Amino acid sequence: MKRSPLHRWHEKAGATLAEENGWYVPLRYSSAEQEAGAVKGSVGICDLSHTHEPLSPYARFLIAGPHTRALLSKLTSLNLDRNTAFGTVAHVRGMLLRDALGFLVMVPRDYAESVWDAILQAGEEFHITAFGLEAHRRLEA
Amino acid sequence: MSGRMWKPRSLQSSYDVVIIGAGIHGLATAYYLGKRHGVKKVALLDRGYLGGGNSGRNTAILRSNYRTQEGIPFYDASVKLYEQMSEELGWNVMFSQYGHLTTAHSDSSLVGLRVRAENNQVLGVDSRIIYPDEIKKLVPAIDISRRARFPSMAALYHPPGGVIRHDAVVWGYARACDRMDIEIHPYTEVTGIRVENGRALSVATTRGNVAAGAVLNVTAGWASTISKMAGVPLPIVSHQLQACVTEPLKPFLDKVIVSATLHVYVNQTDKGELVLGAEIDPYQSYSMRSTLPTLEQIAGHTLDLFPQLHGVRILRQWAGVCDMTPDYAPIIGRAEEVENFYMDVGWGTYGFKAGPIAGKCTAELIATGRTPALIQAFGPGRFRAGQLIGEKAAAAVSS
Repeated sequence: MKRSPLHRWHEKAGATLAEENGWYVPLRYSSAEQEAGAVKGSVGICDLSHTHEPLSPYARFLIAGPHTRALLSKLTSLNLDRNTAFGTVAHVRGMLLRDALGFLVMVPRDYAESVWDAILQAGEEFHITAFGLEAHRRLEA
Repeated sequence: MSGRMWKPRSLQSSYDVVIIGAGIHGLATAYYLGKRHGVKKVALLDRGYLGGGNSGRNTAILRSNYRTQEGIPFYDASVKLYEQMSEELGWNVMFSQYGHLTTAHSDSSLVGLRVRAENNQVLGVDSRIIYPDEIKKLVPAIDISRRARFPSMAALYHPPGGVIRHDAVVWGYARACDRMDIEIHPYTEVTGIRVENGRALSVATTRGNVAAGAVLNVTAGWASTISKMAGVPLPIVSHQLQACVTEPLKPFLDKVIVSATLHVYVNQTDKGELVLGAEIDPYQSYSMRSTLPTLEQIAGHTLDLFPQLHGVRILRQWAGVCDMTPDYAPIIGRAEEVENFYMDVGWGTYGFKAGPIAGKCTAELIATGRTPALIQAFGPGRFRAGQLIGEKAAAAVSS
């Protein structure tokens, strides 16, 4: 079973983990309903590292919710009006991709935890929530 | 079809645009100046024969699986222009878009290829990692066994890549330019550029002086020497790049194979010859002489990939001179020091594959004064501004 570079963080945060396509993935931290609501109300972050090429060098997070841009502009000077932008996010070289729900942040796996932590820290003022795949599916529906 | 592909013409005393260098980049620029912008009082000057520089010395490989957000869309646009070229020019340029594989022989090179695969996909370029079983299916002749000194662990597979007939590209553009009465002057060497009050006014040639509304330096191998004539220094060093071709063999290879670890690239032509290319020579030179150590290196590394070729003979070996920039990306734009002086240079080992799009963008810049988005990052000011591009990992060993 493959593990996201944030696997330890998910465990520590008390996530309910499940197996999906050969990966351990976080389904929820509290409840899907609560998480989806918090994202809609402000901003949230979800680990989607399992959703692209296997053995990718990149970790992939989704940042979604009305305060997404405000949060990202604290962490990067990249142009948020572009569909794809390469450059630094939280001092780590990676890229930002626009997504139907917000922005995908792609950074090298080795730096995943530090970028994730930096996003959570910068998001404190917006009461950022980590959300699992169940909430993600609700938001996508 | 009868007559010549292009007519010899007498050199006039003045042109709207004088293009120094009648290779693929110069020809493409002239073509788009005439075709898209109606600028037809254009002269292409070349000190040698048409397409006798790097346009005729490259290994004719086309691909767009670069690494950066500047490089990927740019080369992708170029591959698309090549795809339409036969139709656009009414002339078969023989583009065999049969796929391109870059093999990885170490963990670190595999990580590099994974980054490229991801970056390519994000920007819509078809490129993915495949493993030895799939490599073997695509290229049955390749040695992927553990016996190999550097076994192939994986490859970056880029289906739109392939090879083209580079001479046909030159001839096609030349014919199209000639039909618009754009003038092609081979054996017309530029010996000086007159600049007054910070403005390029004319060029001196071995056939006389020519006044110019704009001067474009689009030479390869001697870009910095031409640029110096206008008083514009360029951060370029020139190295030789060598290649060779074997005797014809029964067709057995219909993919381009590149190995960065082994510093070699291999493809089989329609005639059956293998075209083998190396990395640039490690020292600077303008000599254009082929050398035995490089030939031995190419041969040895080719045998690492295809041991069954051990008895095959080499027919020819040659060299071209490549203008290397500090960041392995080209310099396209208007000189900051001299008005009316433009450049499309510093193409290292990857100029041929960029010819059409570089020409299209350079023509737009000269005709309209606006820098197209695709080349904005490649301006000469980036070295002073410290905004280098970082394409080395994907540009080296690539032809």
